[in-house]
Amino acid sequence: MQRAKVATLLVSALLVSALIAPFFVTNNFVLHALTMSLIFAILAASWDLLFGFAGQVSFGHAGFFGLGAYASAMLSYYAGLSPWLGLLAGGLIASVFGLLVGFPSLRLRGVYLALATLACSEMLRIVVTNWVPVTRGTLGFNLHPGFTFVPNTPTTHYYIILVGAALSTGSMYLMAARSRLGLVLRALAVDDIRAQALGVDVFRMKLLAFSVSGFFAGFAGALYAHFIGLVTPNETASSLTILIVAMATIGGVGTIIGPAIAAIVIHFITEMLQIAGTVYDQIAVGLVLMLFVLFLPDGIAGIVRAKVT
Amino acid sequence: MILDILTYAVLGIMTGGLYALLGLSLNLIFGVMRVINVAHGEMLTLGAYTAVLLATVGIGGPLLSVVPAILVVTLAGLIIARVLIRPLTVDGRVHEQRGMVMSLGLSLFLSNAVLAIFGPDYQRVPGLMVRGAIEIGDLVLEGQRLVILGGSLVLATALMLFLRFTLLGLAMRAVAENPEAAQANGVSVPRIHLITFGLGSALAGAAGALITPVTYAFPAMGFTYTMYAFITVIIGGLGSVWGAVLAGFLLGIAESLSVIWLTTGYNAIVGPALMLLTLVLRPQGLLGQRLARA
Amino acid sequence: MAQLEAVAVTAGYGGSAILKGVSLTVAKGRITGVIGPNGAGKSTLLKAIMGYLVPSDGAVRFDGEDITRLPTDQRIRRGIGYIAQTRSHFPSQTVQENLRIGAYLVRDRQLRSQRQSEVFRRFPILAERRRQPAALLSGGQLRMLEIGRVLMSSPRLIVLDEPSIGLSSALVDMVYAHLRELAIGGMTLLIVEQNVRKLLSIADFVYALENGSNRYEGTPDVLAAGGRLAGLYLGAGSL
Repeated sequence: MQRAKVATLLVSALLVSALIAPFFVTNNFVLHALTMSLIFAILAASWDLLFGFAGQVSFGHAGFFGLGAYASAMLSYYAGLSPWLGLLAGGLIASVFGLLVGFPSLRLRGVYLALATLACSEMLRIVVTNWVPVTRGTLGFNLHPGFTFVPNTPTTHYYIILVGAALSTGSMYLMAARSRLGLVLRALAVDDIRAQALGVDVFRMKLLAFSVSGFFAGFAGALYAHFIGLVTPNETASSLTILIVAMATIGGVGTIIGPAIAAIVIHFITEMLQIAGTVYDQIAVGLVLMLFVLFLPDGIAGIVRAKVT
Repeated sequence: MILDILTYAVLGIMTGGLYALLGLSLNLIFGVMRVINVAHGEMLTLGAYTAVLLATVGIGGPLLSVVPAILVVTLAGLIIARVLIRPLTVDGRVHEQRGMVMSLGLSLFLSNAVLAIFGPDYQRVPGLMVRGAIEIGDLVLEGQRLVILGGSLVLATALMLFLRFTLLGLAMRAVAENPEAAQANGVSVPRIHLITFGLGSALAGAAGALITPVTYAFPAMGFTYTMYAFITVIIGGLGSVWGAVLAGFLLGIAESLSVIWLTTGYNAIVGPALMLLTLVLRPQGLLGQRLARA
Repeated sequence: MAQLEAVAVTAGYGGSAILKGVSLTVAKGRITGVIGPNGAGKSTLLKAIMGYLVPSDGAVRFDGEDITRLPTDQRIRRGIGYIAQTRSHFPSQTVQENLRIGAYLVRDRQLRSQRQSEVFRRFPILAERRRQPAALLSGGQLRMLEIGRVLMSSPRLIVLDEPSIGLSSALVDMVYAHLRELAIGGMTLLIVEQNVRKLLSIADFVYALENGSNRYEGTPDVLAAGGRLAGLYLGAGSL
């Protein structure tokens, strides 16, 4: 019980500080970095949902993210779709991609599964880079950043994305940690043969996990598209996946909140380091990740858990 | 048309040799240690940049730079195996998930370290190139590409002979198959792991030195080659040395031939597509022994 | 004279202790047996002795040297041979390669060749199939291969985990005939067995384990006289 209280306290404190942040942070660049960090939080959480809970290693999350970004951008560019609907569309299209990725991967585990997801993500990247008439290749899409019906200021963007992040992370957490679905997913992760023997429709559950995870990653991508205004094949590159895995591992796999917070902290710090003019931010992330795997494999959430119990 | 196919097929064989070497070296590491080394391509990067470094100081020829590259990368590999991978090893096998994530961190670290030290510019070392080409009718085979093929074949053959006929090679195969039984025979599994990782990395480093005269070296180059290595290993079958060789050449030829039907950029899709197909239809690959459910 | 000793060994996996202070002494040149129901900790004891498991408490000594924390390959180097319960060989390698690995620590080529001839003399079927992968061998032949490969390193003590497992009665007799022969030649043996009857027919001294602790011990005669074994002959179950 005490653990739950501490957790609730922590999360509430975070939410409150997130809500009032713009009043203290007046520098637009810093606010921008914070906003991006929130997008990464959704992304990291979506990865954790698939791996930490359903036990499915995804090395292809950049694909979901990029697809969501491209879907939303293209619908806006070609069909004039409202950005708000674009967010939904990005999520849905990415979730369909999730089904497409999940399906061939149903019988696979571990490294084989990881490689299958990587293959899908890479194939998407190659298509996006080369299908110039449709995706404009390496040029990508240059949208007028922003959303309709609201003033397009850094602060407004921040709040929009904060709401998006809070809702996404919150629903993912509830789904994973508090619902029957989450229980089933975790049973799946531990021993899917046994789960199957107990009557769990393993295949359907895996597909569900992939599509839900894909949805939120795509949603994050769509948010990104409208926030930054520039979508290129870089958004589907695997270096992004590596970053997400790093964030989730450092945060603590299997906690949803852990990866989300780690993503915020890591991305924010790396952005800030870049103003300082160093190229060393990624080196630092890599180093920190390796140290965590060696000494703190359960991530920060693991430390917190240990302290509280 | 026939000539086109032939030309592309031959070019494919030339790149295939490189893929075979990459696949072999990764297969070695995975087979023996069960570690998914996502940073394998970075070993190639290190080898490539060693060649670049030597070239800027005026040392080395197209073949000469391979030796220092091997030495540097072997050292790096041994350090990595000792410091980063051994702590993750339990009962003679590396913890699969942690090993994977560790190698991700290593990949991030190394590629950006190279970026920090050498800068983002593409590096070329034309001075090292073997000049000239062999012409067979309308077919033109560039000298350096032949060197890459030749070098790859030599290294691959050497590795296969080593595994088959030496005691150390036997010990490595034993550890790959049954670490507990290997230990029961007096084989020190931790030491074999070190040697394996060093050897596998060295081969990747050699590949890096071989290709630098022909391709550009750039900090993020590792990833592409890691992909090729994994694709080759999966198609050929984890644990199969001949499989990696076969798959390497098949991949090279398929990728090259696909240019006839797909535009140049798209032919990169052949690799991942074949890997996915293999994983879905026949996870153990062409000649592999272990099943995906293991 | 004690060649191998386990002194109050406590060991287990994760948090739980499977062995709770087990002790045993293996006399040089003798056959020592370990019996007990499933889950008693017999295999775990062997793992601790061989170094696959490090005890949380207690010690293992070989010829007076404390080897409790020594890595497995170092124990082999000191002259202990080990045949695990299952798959103590390499299926994809040929019979000859399996034997070669058994001689991993033997540097002298002549010595290796000599020992291989010895093994082939003892097990002619292995000579016949020397170039075949071990996967093609039958259960009994595999057991012979495993004994053969252990002999390649010329150990002073051989530890066997259920040598009779999965074998027909006739094959069990064959294996035990070989073991008896080795013992007569002066080899020290430590054998864990489910087949109590067979073990008692050759053991000099027997330990019985239950639930991770020593239950009782003694020579087969003493145990029979004390009526301890009646329950065992009726099948698995408590002692």
